[in-house]
Amino acid sequence: MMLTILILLPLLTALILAMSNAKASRTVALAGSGIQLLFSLLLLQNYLTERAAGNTALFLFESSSAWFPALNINFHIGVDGISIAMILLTASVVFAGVLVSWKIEKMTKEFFLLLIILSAGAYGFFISLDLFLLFFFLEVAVIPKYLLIGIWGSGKKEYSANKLALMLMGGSALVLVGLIGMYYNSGNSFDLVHLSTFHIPFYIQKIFFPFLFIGFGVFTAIFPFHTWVPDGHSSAPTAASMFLAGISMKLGGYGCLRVATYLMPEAAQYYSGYIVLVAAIAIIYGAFATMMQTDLKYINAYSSVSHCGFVLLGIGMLTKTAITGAVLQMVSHGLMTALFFAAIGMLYERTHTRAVKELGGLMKMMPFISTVFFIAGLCSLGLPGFSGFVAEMTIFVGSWQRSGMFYHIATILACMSIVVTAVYILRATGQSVMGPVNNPKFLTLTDAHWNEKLAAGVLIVGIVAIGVMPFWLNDLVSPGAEAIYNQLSRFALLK
Amino acid sequence: MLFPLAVLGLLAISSGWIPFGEFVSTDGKVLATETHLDFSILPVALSLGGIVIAFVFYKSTTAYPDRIANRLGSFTHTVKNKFYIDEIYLFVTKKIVFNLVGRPAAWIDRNIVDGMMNTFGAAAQVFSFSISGIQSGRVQNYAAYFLTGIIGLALLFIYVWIH
Repeated sequence: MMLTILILLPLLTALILAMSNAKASRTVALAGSGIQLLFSLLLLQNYLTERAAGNTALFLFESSSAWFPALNINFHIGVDGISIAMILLTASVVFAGVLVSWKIEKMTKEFFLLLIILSAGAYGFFISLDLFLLFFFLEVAVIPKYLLIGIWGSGKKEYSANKLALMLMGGSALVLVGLIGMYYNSGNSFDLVHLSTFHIPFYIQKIFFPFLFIGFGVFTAIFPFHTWVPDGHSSAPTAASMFLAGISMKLGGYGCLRVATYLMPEAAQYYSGYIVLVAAIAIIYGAFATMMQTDLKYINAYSSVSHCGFVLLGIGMLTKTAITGAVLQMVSHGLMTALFFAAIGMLYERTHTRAVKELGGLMKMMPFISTVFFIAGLCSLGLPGFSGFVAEMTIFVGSWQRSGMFYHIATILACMSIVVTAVYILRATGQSVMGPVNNPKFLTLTDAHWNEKLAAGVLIVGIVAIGVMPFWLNDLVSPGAEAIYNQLSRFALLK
Repeated sequence: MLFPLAVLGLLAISSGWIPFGEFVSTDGKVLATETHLDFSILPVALSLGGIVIAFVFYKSTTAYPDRIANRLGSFTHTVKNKFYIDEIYLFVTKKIVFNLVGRPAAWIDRNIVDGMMNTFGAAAQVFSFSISGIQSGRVQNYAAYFLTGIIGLALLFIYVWIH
């Protein structure tokens, strides 16, 4: 029941938004997203209570009801620790996104409506235990992005919206082919729990795994299908950028892990070398490409390509620690990149530029926003005390556990990217907010308002909580990661 | 300035004794650490030696430090310029990494990788435009396509049947 409420909450918010006027829509969206955040914390508490009471079932709060019986499609939902972490991430980013969009004037009601529908899609995706349902919610989380960028975006927004929608639709099409392949080779079932116990023949796995992995991979900016990221993120309004980088890219990582790797464990092992290779390219190539960007949004977008490469690296390494690290990285990057985009949005709203060269000395006028910007940067470069360090460190340790020269070289290359990240992050943050004030007009600018402080605060609490006390998140996601690892080990014996 | 330096100095001396391994580890278990005196003696002795030499040189009013500096010649110059670490760093990052790696990577991404995706999009558009004439709405044309298809299939079947 709790999970059904989780879907109903944003839908109810969207319904009230549709009936409210533009002025009230802000309050409705804030109240709705705030309740979602509180409810996700309640869900976490109930989940931990169930686990503490000795409930060892893989998925909790499971419920299933027939949706389309002719095709054996059910409204089957349930959560494990990984899903809970993703739900918390979604709730935090959406709440912060509503807050930073407080001053949006153009079609206010419609903007918040689409943002809330996006969150419904993300929640639904993370709790689905039926693959058709999961695909349905994946699509729900794609369409509003097109409108958000196309209507409220900036720069070459039509081009970016088209590119993003077409590429993500292309990814979805690949996912659909993979799902249908699984359906017809598993006794006509979309049920994730059933499929996890069913052994799909290895030759079938070899055919359909690439469809699923690449399809979901497009969402998580797998090389070379990452080109929607820089244009999409840079043209999107702040809240949409936060959602795109913070949550949307995680849908892909979650799908790669939960669907492709979990349900086709033999193919995951067969293709693991290719996944690691592509991930290592994304990490290094993304980092170097970021180095030459001059627009703050492009810097964060390209760095997201690199950071999401770590997620794929963790998945590709197939060790328990690396898989746990991949999940930690999804949460960490979601919070960090949302914070980064929020800070960039705050700077842009005041200075009307995102060009690093035109900024400078903003710390004097905007100490709060500049500090937020720095925190996001330091988390991005993996400074201890922030979530980025915990996630990347876990991935490195887990990756090194995978034996073989190729995997060790990939791990070393991934580690070295930290230096490149430090170069571009320190350069961008230093030039933007430190040093002399480049433009006299900046001297009259004001610092963050209450809504911006609250938005940044919510995200920073998450980043620091993971950075300082990593075990609460680690303990939450570890059983889910272990289940995926056990699945890999179980079917490795059949090879 | 003396006070913050003194605080930092005290922290530098004392923080090494904090058992960080008990608080931070990868698996939640306490990380076993131990002190190897044979490993610690050399760096500590070098640091203390440096402090003593600096104290002797800069607290004394003799011309002895200048004499040594002059005698060491270019080495003194190198030390004064911090072993040119900043210059080397700037050369490596700006001239090598930025120009030879970063710039080509960004160019390749914009023009080749993204260009490839745009080419796919443009090709789909061109193909779509090229076949748009087929959807003319003229039934006679559709019948002609249909007939051509049937003849083509018939010829194919005859060919397969003969061989």
